[in-house]
Amino acid sequence: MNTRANHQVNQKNILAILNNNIIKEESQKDAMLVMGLGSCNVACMTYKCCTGHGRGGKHSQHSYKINY
Amino acid sequence: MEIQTSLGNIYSYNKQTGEIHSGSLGAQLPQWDFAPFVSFKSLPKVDSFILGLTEQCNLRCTYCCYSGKYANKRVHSTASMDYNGIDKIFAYINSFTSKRPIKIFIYGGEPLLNYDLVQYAIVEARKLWKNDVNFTVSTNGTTLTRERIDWLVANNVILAVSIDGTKPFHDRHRVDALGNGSYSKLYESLSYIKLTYPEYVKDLVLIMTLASLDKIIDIAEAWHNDDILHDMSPTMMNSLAPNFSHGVDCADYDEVKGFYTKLLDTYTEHRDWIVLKKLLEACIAYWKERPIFNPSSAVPMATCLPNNTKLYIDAKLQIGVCEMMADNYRIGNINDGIDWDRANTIVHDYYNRRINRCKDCSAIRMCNMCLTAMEHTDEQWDILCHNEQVYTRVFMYLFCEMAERGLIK
Repeated sequence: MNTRANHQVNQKNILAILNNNIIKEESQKDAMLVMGLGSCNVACMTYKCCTGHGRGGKHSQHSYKINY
Repeated sequence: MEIQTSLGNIYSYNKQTGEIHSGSLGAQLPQWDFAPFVSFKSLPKVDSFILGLTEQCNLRCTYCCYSGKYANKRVHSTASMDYNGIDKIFAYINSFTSKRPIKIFIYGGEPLLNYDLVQYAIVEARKLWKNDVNFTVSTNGTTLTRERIDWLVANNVILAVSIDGTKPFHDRHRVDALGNGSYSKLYESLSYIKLTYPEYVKDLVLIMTLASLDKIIDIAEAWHNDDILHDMSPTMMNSLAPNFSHGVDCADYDEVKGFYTKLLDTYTEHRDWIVLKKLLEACIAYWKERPIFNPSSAVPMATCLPNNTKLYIDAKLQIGVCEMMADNYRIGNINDGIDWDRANTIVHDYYNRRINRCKDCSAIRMCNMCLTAMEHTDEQWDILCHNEQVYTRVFMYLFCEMAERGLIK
């Protein structure tokens, strides 16, 4: 691994933001493994789905990948 | 997967652990290990039912998936549920699940074209399940009179309203058969809701569909300057489903990254433009919320069945996995229930198509492909997979860039 320090930012803080959802509970891991770990399912299960599943009932493939 | 931010910093993603590291990981990542398909005979998590109340619509939006421009999708028709059909569906729901509350999404076509039936469904459901049932009605907003809004709000019905921006942007696509825009009537309804029921606004679902992002900065600015809309965030921002009848382009990483960098630069200058905020949040949502842990053992293929929470029931009372799935993939009907062989075959075929394709893919844990892709050929999947990888990487870049710019905490 290239370990050179990244510049102009507080590396420790940035990595903490980028890795903010570390799963430690075994029961939580088991529940997620049942779903298969695709982002779509994990988002759905945790009701953080940006497609609004559970709200408007709409859910479309690539719905968050908006082509320009 | 590796990206470089505008400060020149390199970040790498390890798909095995889900972690993002500083610097380059270099070595090839291990293959993803899939557990074999396991057949199922129940859908224990289903508590949501989407009712395609009618296939009629008073609009002819240019991008509509029911416009006839999409292969494998129905077209607008006069098919509608009736009172007897609603009774049958509710009896079916009662026998299907004991989960509460039941969530019912009334969908179309434009369901409010059959307003009497919508009212009947809500009144009958309340008789059956009292407060253990929640309702959402998807609507284009053009037939929302004050009287109807009053009744729907009084009956705790959530409205999911389609709005693609302010008038020039909305009317560019959301038109009737004569090409007349639908914004004015919709805006009148939204204004009435906001001024009469300010507490209700937080429950209002605003669905923005974007045929492209070419005008998104103009949309965001116009929305910000609108007296009614400026503090109402779109709930969802959808793109169009890939339409291979018209061709689907292969995305280029540098080109897409350049475009999103421009959006981010604009947002950095205008952090109170709620549409841009919502769009960027949606782009990085899966990265931000991804679970970080090493699964250590084989995992099942990520797909909805049998862990899905919703089912779709169309106007002909056929059961679908969801409203986005092509019509030739129905898995049963209200009279006979779910055809488990059919449902298992669809999922098994999906496993078989993905298992070799996905094991080496760095985006496997971030992939948004789902059963709806079953209608596409292998060659079409090559394009979908390519674009999935490009957008996953661009949004990783966006996530890291936003973190470095102090735009997320």
